[in-house]
Amino acid sequence: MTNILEVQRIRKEFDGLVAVCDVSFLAEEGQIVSIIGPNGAGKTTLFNLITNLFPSTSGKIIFKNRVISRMASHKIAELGISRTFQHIGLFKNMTTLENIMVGLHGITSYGFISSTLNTPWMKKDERAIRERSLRILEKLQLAEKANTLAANLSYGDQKLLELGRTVAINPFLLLLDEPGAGLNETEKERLIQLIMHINQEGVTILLVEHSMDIVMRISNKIVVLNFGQKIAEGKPEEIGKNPEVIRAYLGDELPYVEG
Amino acid sequence: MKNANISAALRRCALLLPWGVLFLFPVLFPKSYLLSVLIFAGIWGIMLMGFDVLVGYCGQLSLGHNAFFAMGAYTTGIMTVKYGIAFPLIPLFSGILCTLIVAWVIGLPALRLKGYYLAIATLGFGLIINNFLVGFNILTGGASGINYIPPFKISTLVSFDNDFKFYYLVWGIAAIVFKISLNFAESRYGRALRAIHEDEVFASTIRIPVARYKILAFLYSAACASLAGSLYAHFSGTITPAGFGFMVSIHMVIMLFLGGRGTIWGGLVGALFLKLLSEGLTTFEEYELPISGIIFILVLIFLPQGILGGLKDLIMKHRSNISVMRPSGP
Repeated sequence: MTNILEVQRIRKEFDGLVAVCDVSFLAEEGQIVSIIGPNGAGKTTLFNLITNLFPSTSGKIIFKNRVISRMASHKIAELGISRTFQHIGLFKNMTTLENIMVGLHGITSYGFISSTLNTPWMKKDERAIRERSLRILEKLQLAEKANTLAANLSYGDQKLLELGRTVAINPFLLLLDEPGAGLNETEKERLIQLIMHINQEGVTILLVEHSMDIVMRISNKIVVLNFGQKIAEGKPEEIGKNPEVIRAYLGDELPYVEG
Repeated sequence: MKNANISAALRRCALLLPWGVLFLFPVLFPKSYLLSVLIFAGIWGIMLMGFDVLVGYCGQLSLGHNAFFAMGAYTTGIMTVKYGIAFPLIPLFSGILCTLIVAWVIGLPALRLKGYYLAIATLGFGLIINNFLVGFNILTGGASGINYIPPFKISTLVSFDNDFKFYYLVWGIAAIVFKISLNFAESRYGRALRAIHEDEVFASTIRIPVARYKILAFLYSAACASLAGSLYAHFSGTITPAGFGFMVSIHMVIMLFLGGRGTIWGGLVGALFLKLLSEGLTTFEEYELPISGIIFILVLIFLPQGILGGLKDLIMKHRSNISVMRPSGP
């Protein structure tokens, strides 16, 4: 298996506060890699560094043999890295359908002049993109809410729509930032099925998630962060037994027996 | 399905109606003093439709567009009067070209700023250009400006030298700008601009080149303002720096918010509304300003999305009521 993503000693300081401290890990093509850790461990910061929403202090990120740590965010997205946000990255004043359509922006090609003159080329492109978006909505079972404003969708539907939009552009690598937060058990089950389905289509997935049952069930590999540092890395069953990890999650003061 | 076709046709007719009224008006009232009022409204409308792309769609507030309006007007004024270039399309397009270059140079750094900071930076730019118009009197004629700008005359046959003809020139151009702006706003670019308006970070992660599109919207709005400026210079015949001050930008914002931002129509509605209102209020003379101020405040309180936005909400509400009464299909 080839490495699709290599994070090499990446570091981020905010005014001297080290949010991510020289973290390195690999993700192989087709894997589901989970990043876990207590609140404030630097998980979302790590995602923001991979998508370059802010520049890293030092270190390197390599995606498909290309250094992406200094690339503009929209260029990184063009290479095939797609992501969701913890607080749902939907455009709330746009309809469900428009949210998918704007998500497909990068694969439409008609130019500025064409757009002002409403050329047949533009019409054809627009029709194709509308039909493709409607098909995606049907798959997500959101078709009848196509003209509903995203703000008026239920929380679960919003999360589903955002996930659907990121998958719509056929990414190679998908970053999911707490997709399970706020979902009930049925919705969580649906989410697990969905993530596994996406993964089977060949999409590598990087997952930040607090819900341990999701993480343990679907991950090939788990990376554990605490206070910005990587404290463990390995298969789910190894991570569950790792004393460092247990200490990070449960605290020092609990008496525990060495060995 | 048939019903849907009929309602779509009805809607198209309803949208064409205001244009029909506008284009018939001079035929019905060729001598009306309102012609010149409507010409000014059309000039403002052209400027505002571009401004709506920047403010209403892309969400970037500029208070310096008076400078682009001035650049169009002064390029026309200087080229026709000082250099004797009679063919009006040359100064018109030179004005747009100059404006695009300046807007690009200004926009590149300014559009990195957000919200108030962008507004303040562009405000400063507008003030600088206005001072330049007063100070650089060899070219601009200083505070007394440029006089005797000839009418818009392409040839002896095609000449827009009276109100009646100029009305059709301005509103013809306004109709073209309207169509272009509306197409643009409903294209993938319009969607991308609205996405940038809502969240630049989200937009950048779905492959939208945020910085480039912000510049594109800025250039488009600047070009529209310059075009309007050239027409304004031809129509009024006299331009002075006082006519291109900070208040022009303020009026643009007021008209756009009155009409309804993010609709393209809104700019036209706002321009017509405010121009006709101030004409109607001239009988009250000294009360004109407070009355228009009160109307503005009332509109913003009761129709925060502007006149057109309010109308749209009303129609939407009406429609959803109908669909509740008659559920369609099984």
